[in-house]
Amino acid sequence: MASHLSGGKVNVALVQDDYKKDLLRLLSKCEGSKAIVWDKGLAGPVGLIAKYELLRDNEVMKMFPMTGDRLPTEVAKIKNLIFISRPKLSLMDLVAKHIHWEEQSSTNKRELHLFFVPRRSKVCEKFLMTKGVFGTLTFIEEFACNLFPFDSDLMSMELEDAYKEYHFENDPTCLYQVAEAVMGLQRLFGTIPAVYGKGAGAKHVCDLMRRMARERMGLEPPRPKIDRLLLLDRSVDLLTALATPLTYEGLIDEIFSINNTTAHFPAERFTKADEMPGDMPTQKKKIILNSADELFAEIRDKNFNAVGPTLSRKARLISSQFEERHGEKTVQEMKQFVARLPHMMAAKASLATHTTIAELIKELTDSDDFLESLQTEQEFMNGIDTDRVHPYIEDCIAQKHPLLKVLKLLCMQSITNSGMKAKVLDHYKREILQTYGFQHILTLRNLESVGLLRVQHSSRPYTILRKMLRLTVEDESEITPTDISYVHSVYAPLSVRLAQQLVSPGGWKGMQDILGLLPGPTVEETQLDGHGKDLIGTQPSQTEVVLVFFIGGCTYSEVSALRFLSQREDSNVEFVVCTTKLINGSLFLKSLMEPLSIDINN
Amino acid sequence: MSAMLTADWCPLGKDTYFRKFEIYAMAWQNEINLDNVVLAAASYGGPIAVVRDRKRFIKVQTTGKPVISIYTASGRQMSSIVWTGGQIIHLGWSSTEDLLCVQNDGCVLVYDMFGTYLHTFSMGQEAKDTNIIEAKIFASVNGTGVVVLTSSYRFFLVNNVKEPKVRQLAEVAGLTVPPSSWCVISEDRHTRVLMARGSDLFLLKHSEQHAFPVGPRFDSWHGQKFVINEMCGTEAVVGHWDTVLLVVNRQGEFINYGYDSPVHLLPEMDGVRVLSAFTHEMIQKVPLVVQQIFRINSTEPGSYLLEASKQFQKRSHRSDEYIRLVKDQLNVAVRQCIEAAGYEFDPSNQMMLIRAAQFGKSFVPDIDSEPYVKMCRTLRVLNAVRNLRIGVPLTITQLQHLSFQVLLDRLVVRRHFYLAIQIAKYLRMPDVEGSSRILAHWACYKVKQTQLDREQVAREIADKLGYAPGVSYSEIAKKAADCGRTQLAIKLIDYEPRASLQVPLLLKLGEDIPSLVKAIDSGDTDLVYIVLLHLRDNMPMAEFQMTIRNYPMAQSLYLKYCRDHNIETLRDIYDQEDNHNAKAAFYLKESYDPKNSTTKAASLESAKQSYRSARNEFAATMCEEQQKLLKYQTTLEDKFRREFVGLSVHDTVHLLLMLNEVKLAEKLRAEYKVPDRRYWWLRILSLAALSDWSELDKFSKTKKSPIGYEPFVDVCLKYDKQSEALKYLTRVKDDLKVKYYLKLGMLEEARNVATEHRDVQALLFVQSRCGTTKKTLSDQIDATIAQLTTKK
Repeated sequence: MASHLSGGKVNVALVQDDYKKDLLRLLSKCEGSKAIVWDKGLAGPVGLIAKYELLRDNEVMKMFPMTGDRLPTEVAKIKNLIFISRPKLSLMDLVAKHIHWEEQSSTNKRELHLFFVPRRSKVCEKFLMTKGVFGTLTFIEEFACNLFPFDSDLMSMELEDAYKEYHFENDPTCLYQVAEAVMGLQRLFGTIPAVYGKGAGAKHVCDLMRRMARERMGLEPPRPKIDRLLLLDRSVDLLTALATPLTYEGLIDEIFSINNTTAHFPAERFTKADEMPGDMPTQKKKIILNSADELFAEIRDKNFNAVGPTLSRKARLISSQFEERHGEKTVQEMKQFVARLPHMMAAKASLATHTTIAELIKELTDSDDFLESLQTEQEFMNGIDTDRVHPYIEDCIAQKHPLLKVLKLLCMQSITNSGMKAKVLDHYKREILQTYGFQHILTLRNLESVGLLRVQHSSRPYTILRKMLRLTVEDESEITPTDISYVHSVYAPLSVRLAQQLVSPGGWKGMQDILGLLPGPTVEETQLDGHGKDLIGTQPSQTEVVLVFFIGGCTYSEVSALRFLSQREDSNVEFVVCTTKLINGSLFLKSLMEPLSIDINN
Repeated sequence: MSAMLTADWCPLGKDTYFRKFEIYAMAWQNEINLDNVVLAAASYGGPIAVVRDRKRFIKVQTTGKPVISIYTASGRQMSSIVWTGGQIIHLGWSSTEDLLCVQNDGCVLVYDMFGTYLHTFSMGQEAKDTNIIEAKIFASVNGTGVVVLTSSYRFFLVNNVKEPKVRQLAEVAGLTVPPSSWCVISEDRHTRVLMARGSDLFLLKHSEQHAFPVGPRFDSWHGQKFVINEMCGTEAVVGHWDTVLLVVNRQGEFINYGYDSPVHLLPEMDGVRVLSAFTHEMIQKVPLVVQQIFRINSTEPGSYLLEASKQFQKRSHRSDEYIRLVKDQLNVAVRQCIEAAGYEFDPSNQMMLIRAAQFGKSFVPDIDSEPYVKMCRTLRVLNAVRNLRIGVPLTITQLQHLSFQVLLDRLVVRRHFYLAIQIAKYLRMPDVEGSSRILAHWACYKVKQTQLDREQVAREIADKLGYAPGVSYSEIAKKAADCGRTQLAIKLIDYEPRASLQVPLLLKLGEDIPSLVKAIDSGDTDLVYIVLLHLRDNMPMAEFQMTIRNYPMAQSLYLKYCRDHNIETLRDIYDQEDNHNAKAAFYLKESYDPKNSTTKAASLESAKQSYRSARNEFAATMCEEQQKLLKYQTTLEDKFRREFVGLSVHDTVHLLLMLNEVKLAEKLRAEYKVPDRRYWWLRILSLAALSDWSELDKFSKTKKSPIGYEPFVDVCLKYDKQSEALKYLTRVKDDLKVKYYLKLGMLEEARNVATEHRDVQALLFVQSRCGTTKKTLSDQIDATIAQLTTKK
């Protein structure tokens, strides 16, 4: 079990272990040497469950991305070829192509298998039948892995397009998967007594859970370890999804993008003095970012302005630790020092790494561009100048700044103004089409259809919500914060405010007015245990565990804010976060964009 | 008491006893004359089928047609079948207690024990053509098999009546008379027939063409009168001549039992049941443990414990003496008593032994009570099923062989649902294996009763079963559908909680719309797709499209599917739905599709029209502008031999400016109403890119800049033209001046401006840029700040 996954009251390592066993069981069905052909979106996440070394120990000799092209000849001797794929028809097309290649090669006949993640799909099987390759497959299995463990309090389903599929295409597949994921967690950690939620997706998932519980009755779940479940549909809080995060981890993601807890940095900044500089300048340095790194665990959730002081304090501490050796007198003391040495060296290396990363970030956050854009964001959040064409956005368009950045600001303006005047919106749209090209017309339509851009109606819910939920907090200390608003320096994520309210003594009672202002229905339900008994109050525990499930994606700032709430001294709540995908503004908008032609400039 | 118990024991050889005891007094006493009937009983205390023996002449009482009566082992009639078919050659029971009736034409008719006809299979064409003269039913590895002998003396074999596959066995050459005797040997997966012709013995396999004599020659010892012989365990053979019954062991020693009426022998795995007109008895070797306890002068621990227990109940001190005798072996003694109790049929004997075990148990502090508890439970179950009313005389050995599961199945087959559920609950079986499964069987039985009202049946079933875990409503519904009760099946399938089972069945029953609704409700989109694709392939297209439009989610999924697989259909649907916006998007995509290069313009025009129809004026205008732009760009391409087509308005203007075509740029800008702000930016950026610094300066003076003069400074700095940048610095907005002086590295000027504005923050900012090189300036700023702050 990986240590960085344990530690919480809900042991995420159990989830990893469960899936790992399942994967190895499936692999062992295919006897002999194996090669895996991965659905590109799965290789990374599955790596969080079973590292390559483990797969190699289980006779996986080679891995390839699923491209539909002929595999290199070096795999000729491998006995099994396993396709691991999401149940999507476009991917099945690639599988079929691979199988056709296999059939053409007359020299070797190996066994072909297909593992679906997370569920078998009849439609896909039918598709393979029509392609005439279904019969060639020996094993068709289901690797029911819904959640990939990221950290001791964080799991992601890695479904990139969940929001788009549900809100734009009206395809609720991801909701079914979310419900299955929660059911899977309940199998390990017990039936969650109380379910809360906001938004259409949340309601839908809750209904599906009830249905699934009925379908699967008769299994005895363990004692509940999670006390409450909070389902949040991303559409309830779109602003947070777009806002620039100002936490350390959030900024790393914003600038270098984190995938499956790993980020790539320009390698030349990390070269050590004794290495030849310019050895391999093009290569990126890969760094795994999770709580196994003590220092990172400490600073990841801090506002970036608090990271510098922490790093310099650490630096002093470590150097003083190294200095201590001069003070050591006896052999005994020396021995203790030597014993501590590996840990100190690791801490030092980690410090060097994060200092470099922090420098890289600082270069960007000090730029005028970043500061002006941030200032505009914060003006919008505070409700300043939201109702007219904003000169900064205009200048950005005029200078052809990246379209994503412009769209992000535009959507934020639309949200904070609860929609724009038709004239203003049309002006912006026209400016974008004229500058970035007509091919973005469908992107704009998509943004309008999911409500990120819209024409104003009479009511202005954002203004009311901002006051009632204290979404903007001025003069909050970034270094020693007392409120979650530190994650965006001004703005407290609405989603996390809802969670905060839920665990406050009054709960959501008396919040009906506020909840009414948010889109979609509110969910407040209790679940019964296997014997049909009410579970609430069965076990008064010291610390309450609340699982927050973001349907449609969750940002690093939200994770940090929830962690901040868990770690507060007076807190008796522990949050565990699940999401369909860890997102940031760019990723979120990108999933909704639909350019008609690939523009080289954007 | 023990004397009475051993009264029915008879010794046979050394240390072996046989006992004969009555199980039931037969309820059929006055109905049956065993003299003139053919009788077939199922093993494990199963039902008994009785039919008049056609070889005997008796007075016909009612109709001429033979009647097969089926009784329980206790002689209660369960059902009867009026036989209308051909001549019955042989009757027998399958391992699942179905009655197999082998007709002379080789047909095997299968009935259940309630006389319900199930199905028929044939033993092949040859059997049909030549008729069969003999048949035997035997237990095979995977069920029950049948072997028939035709009038041409050929053997045909079916290994499993559930999957009747007829095989011919090897032929014996020159067989002109029926074999004198034959029997079936079924071992592992091979079934063979051992056949005697005169003194020759043949082993017939189905894999061989012809059979040859095997083994030594036997002198036939089959006496004419010796009617049936059956093995009784491995120790002895039981046979009978009319009213005399003999138990013969290997040494030829025998026990003789006399009867006053004919009897039938029914072999079991651990004994032989003897059926007469009045009683149903069991002959078995006395189990070792029973012998150990009850044998006269036994010194086994169990025997002493039993005696101790008896004395204890008599409140006699001798109890203590007996206990002392077995003090060290109490564990064995208890075990013996428990085991022996299992072999007893008489509840009072069971109780006596169980009491002894319980008594002994209390002397052993940490004895494992599990075997004791288990035996008590088992005995209660055995006694319950042995009850006259149920009539299943199982021995514990048989039960252990069958398992409780199978026993429950057998009760279910007998429609003793309630008892089965009580037993399952009593044995604490998990619901899924126990009560739920039984309820499901009950429901299956219920749906087969076609005379009942379907509403009522569905309701009754749902009331009883509720949402019990492990109940598969789809199974029940399937049964109902199999019985042709489609409507009932549809009603029942509604209770199935698992959509993955529900939906395919509904589709099979032709319930298109309900299956679609259920699939949508389940949230499982894969199911929805399955239904959609099924409907699409089995419905007229127009009707299909009309249907799904009532289900927005299904329609969305179908549209998504079409987007990837069937573009044409997509347009059809948009057309039908009058969804002009979507249609426009469709045309737009078409116009950008590289495969469609010829129809680009036409597609764009269609898109515009669609937007018009959708009253989406903005989008329509944008389309129109795009059309115009493309046209204009083509002319530009001709003129400048540069690529213009595909550029945005903005980029076109920019390119023209870069080509120094300011007039053309101005014209285009005016035509597309490019705002001043953006145009100024374009001019500034392009002039800087062209390094036309004098022109930039001129441009800055044409009129007041709508974007301020900071961009001028910025572009100059971008190209490292400090001197040019300085030109615009004075026109920079006051509150930005400090910042811009700093950008140019002019710290002193920045300080001056800041001091002028008495801006402490700005001063500090300037100071922070001083570093170590400008020590003096930094000190000066300190002084200024001090001055400014004191003045306040």
